[in-house]
Amino acid sequence: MKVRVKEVYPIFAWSWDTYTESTDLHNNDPLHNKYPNKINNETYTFLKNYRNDIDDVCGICRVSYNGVCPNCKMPGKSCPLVVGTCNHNFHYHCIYRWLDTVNSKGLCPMCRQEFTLKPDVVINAKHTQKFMELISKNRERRLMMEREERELNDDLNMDEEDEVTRDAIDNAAGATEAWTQVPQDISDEEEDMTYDDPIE
Amino acid sequence: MAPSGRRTSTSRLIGYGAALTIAIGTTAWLLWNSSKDEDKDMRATNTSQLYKSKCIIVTNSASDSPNIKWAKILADPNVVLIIPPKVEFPQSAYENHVVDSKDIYKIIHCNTMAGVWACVKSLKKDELVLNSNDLGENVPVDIVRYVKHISNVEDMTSVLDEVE
Amino acid sequence: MSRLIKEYKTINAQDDILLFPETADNLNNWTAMITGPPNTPYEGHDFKLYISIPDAYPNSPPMVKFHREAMPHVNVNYETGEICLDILKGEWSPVYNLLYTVQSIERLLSEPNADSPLNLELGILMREGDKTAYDSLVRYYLQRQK
Repeated sequence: MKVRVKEVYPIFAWSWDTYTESTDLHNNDPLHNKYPNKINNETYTFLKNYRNDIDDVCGICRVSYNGVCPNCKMPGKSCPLVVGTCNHNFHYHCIYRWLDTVNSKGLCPMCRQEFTLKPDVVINAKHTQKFMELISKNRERRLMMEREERELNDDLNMDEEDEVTRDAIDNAAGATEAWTQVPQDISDEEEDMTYDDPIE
Repeated sequence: MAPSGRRTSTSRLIGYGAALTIAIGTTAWLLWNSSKDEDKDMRATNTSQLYKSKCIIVTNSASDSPNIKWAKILADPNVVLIIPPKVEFPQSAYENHVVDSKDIYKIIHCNTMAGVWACVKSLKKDELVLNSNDLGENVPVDIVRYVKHISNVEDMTSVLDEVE
Repeated sequence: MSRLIKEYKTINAQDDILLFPETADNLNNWTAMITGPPNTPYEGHDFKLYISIPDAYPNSPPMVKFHREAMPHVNVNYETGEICLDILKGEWSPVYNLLYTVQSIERLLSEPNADSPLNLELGILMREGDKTAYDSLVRYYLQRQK
């Protein structure tokens, strides 16, 4: 039988190389060890990532890793992906914007460990410098906040030794406690308190 | 053309005058009326209840008394009962204890005295009614900040008269 | 913003959740209805939540409140309806969404936290371990509103 190819439609797919533990996975997977030559390491990684990436979305913007963050139009180089040491992936723009907020305290949104870029991952290489700067900025912020908190506590302790200030705090606390019903007139109230049968 | 025009303007003028008189009259009448209502309201508050809402701490002398018509007391939307620890308030032991099921939420049971005072503070009712002899402990000094008046009554039966 | 549109579509697809934007073309203000969990004094009552979305969402948490004078709970300011919950403040993470937030508040109803009271008296009742009084008082407030 003779087959004549009339037209060819080449189809391409790409995926971010989030390759992390897949080598170990591959080697330990009996299914793949049985046919070690049929599918090479790279292809396996690609397929694994590609399949995962269809389901896996950036936890921050909920768009696929291979898609774009809300501020970008073209997927790919202009909206890259980064891999954390904790193996959580995000669009570079999404995670950068999060880590740049005071709220973040420099933590991974998924596991709340300090977010650092996983070393020796190809796609991370370009961003290492910027993330290092961000990490030190967040560490400084944290130290400053801790220092402020300590100073505040010291201030409060000092106040407690001071009679006058303590009275002022007590009064303030009393004012907030009695939120709704402000006694209309203090002298009135004291008159009311002289009942026929005084309470011991 | 001209005479008819003049007539229209005259009648219009009369119309305006009438409308203005009616408006002034109505306003004056309304004002007078409302001031009369206000008088009535003032008199009502002065004569009947000075303290609109009540929080009653029910201690043993009160819960044991067969003469207090709790059902009637609790029908008042502004009354709350607080039952301190170790006080029995059986809702059907005596006829006077049979409280309408829609009012049962106004009976607050506490397991601790600290709980009793916290409830009093939270409720912020105008009047706090209690029998200090029964309570077996002092009324915390800061309670006065949360109620307008404390009535310390020996005999809780008198509470009923107050409520009625 | 586009993340909110995604959330809107997901929530819209489920019909058992009462979480909806005030108008379909403005996703900045939402309302939610939560039901009182069973075996709590809130059972049998429904509560409305008002949610407003800050511009920085999801990097900043949504702002959520109960209706004023509607929620007697140790971690809710009864007067204003303001809620004290860690994920609405410092513990927020952009991976959380509106649905998770609403579910967390629902969970807060059965798991009150005495360490951060916004309702001082209910805080005292919890610390004293007087559950009878806590439940009684909560029921009183809920019933009174009816």
